[in-house]
Amino acid sequence: MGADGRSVTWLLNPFHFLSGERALPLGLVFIGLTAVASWLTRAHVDGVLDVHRGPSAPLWVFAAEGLVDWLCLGAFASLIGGLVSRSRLRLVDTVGMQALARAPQLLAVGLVAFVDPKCRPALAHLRPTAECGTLKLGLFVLVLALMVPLLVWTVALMYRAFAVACNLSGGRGAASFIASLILAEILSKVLIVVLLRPFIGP
Amino acid sequence: MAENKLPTACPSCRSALVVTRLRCRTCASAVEGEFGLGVLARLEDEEQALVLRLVKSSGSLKDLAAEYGVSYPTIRNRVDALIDRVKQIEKELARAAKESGHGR
Repeated sequence: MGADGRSVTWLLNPFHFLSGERALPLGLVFIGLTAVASWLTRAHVDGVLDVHRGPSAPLWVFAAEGLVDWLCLGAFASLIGGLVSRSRLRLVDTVGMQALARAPQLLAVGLVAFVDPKCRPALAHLRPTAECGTLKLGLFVLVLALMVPLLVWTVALMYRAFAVACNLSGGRGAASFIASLILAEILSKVLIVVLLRPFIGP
Repeated sequence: MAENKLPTACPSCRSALVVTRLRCRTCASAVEGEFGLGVLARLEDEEQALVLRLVKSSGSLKDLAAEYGVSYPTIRNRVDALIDRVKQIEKELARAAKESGHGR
């Protein structure tokens, strides 16, 4: 593998090089940094793939949101991967790699800081309003445009983490990953509403 | 000088090849017959190298992963693929033996 190929692999599939034992602590550092950035920007990561600007809350709530999202996907990836794969899986890989796969969310919550929630109505009509001028609206659209590749990158990392840790690829790998992702998204949403909503401001 | 790679499949019909002639490099004596290639000889070069490295690392996938510079699950997946390949070759050899009536 050439230097360019290695760089691309590090970006899109770091799990080729990093086992769960190394991905887990690194992923936890990113989840911690994302929690601090979320707390500063009031960007709630209230679902496996969701990032929304919302009310203020204590720092631990933002950290808990990230942990719930990670553990939900880690749990379903381990469970479904364990059922479908013929390889002997290790929990530290299936869960640890999913922690590192969340790294791009640090950039996403940073980008959300540039979004003014008052611009949502203006965005719906793509026309500046009294509360959201042309500059603010343009920034909102730019952030949305940048969020798309970040989301794609995050999902790609989550899939590669699942595929490497569970030795699954092709149709079987994709179908079991999508099932894990959908179930984790639902469970994380429910858990965050039930457990954390009481601690989030109006 | 590097030795030529031993072909294991017929370039025309892809069936498994057998060795029919062996020669001594020292005295040039030759032996003719029909000698089957084992499972290991039928693996690709990379697969054979993986088997050798696995043996040299006493079967430790962690050591093997460190040697290749890849993660543990990456090397485990390669070894799992190798196991599937060995099983496939064994099936092919068994079928070929049955068809030729050698039962070897």
